[in-house]
Amino acid sequence: MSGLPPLPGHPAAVRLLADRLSSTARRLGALAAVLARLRDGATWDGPAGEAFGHRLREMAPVLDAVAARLGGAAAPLRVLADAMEEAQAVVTTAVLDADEAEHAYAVLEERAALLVGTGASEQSPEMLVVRHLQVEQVEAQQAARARHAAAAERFQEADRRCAEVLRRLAMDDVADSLPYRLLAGVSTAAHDVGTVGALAIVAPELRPVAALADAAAVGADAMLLAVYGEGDAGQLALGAGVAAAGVAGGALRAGATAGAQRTSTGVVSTARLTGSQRVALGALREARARRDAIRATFQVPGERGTASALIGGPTPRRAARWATGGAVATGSRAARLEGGASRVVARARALARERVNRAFLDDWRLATANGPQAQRMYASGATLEVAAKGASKAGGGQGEGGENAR
Amino acid sequence: MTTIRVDASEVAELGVALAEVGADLLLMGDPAAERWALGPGAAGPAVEDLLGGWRRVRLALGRSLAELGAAGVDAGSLYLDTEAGVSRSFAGGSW
Repeated sequence: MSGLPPLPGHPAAVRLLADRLSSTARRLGALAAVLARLRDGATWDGPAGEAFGHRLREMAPVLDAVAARLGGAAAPLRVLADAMEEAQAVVTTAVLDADEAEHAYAVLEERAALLVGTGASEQSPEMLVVRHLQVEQVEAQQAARARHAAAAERFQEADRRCAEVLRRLAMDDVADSLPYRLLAGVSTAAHDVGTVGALAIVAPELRPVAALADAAAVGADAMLLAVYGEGDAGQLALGAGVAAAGVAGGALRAGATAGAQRTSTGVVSTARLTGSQRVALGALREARARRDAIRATFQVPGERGTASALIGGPTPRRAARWATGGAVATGSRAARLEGGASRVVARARALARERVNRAFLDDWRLATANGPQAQRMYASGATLEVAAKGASKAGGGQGEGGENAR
Repeated sequence: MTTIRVDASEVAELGVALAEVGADLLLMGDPAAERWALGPGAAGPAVEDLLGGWRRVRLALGRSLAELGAAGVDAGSLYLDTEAGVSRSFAGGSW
């Protein structure tokens, strides 16, 4: 064959990346609108709202810089994707044309050899035709090579221009310093190598490699934590550290199960997440759940509303319980009602307990699929939740709930 | 005198929006994964540097947004509970 190389790259994936960067930049930019609403006092007018807005405003320059960094990359990437697509089309055709021409030349050469075998000379009319056709094929091949080279050159130029723009964008105020990059690089690489420890059961010779990598990872993480205040140790001491970071037990449990899925054959882990990422996911799930609870509160039907709801205020969550409290009848009918109600409550509690136990075991299986760190995180989350409930009861708060059941 | 005017559900929504952006930043994947699509030219490493070369700010910003988001959801819930409790106390109930 011609030996002409194809042009690597995937224009559709480059466009997808550009779209993703645009969308992230837009979302970061949208936070500016949030700031404006807070500034107008439309959402939250009061000392706490001001403090909240102040914290958000402190982040505004960084958010702008990140939006410029990521959003600015979208346009040059789209231009590159177009250039790549055009060049790949030309290169693919050129490779095919060159291959065909080479094949045709070889076929003509075989015919020439046959003619020589039958006694034809180089000057014979038939041989001259064959040689002429061969020259045509050589020219076709040269033309294909020239088109290939020109397309590759055009793409290289587009690639160079794109890289220049991206490099300029990367030199901003949010760029990492060189020492930080080195440390973060060591940590990432060592964590990656450390995962071979899981193979040590079948390949014991990998054990020292994993041990060395783990040690390097711990060293780099400790440096990141000590010098830059960053890392899992700060967030994931899974005890006092977690409590200090203000991470709720429910968020930890949700994070521990993230990335694992139930399948027909059991539970599998589908994503490799770091401890910090698990905490972030768990906190987000928790925030969404509480937001949904608030939405649900505001969607309570009118007949369950209170005076506050009637004059435009929110409907209290425990309104129904409070309302029925005042409707208890007197006499034996009341006693019968109360007895029946006690049985219903007891049955409901037993059912709720069973659901909680089932949900705990289910989540524990998911956390187990995610590895020992996720297990520890889940156990810590569950412990924190129990402790929080105990404290709430001791302080005269609410009784046990069924939040665990999903 | 302190004046408070708040849309509790909107504050909670805002908290979730901030937490979502924060989580997105914390969960950004390995930038090397994007490199293959660009081929062997200079744009690949440049993209990798652009996406991965701000890790420190990314993690700090992601954490701050996530914390602020959680605080927003907390505040929304608290305002709502307070309003409900006060409403009940005026109506003759208890907290």
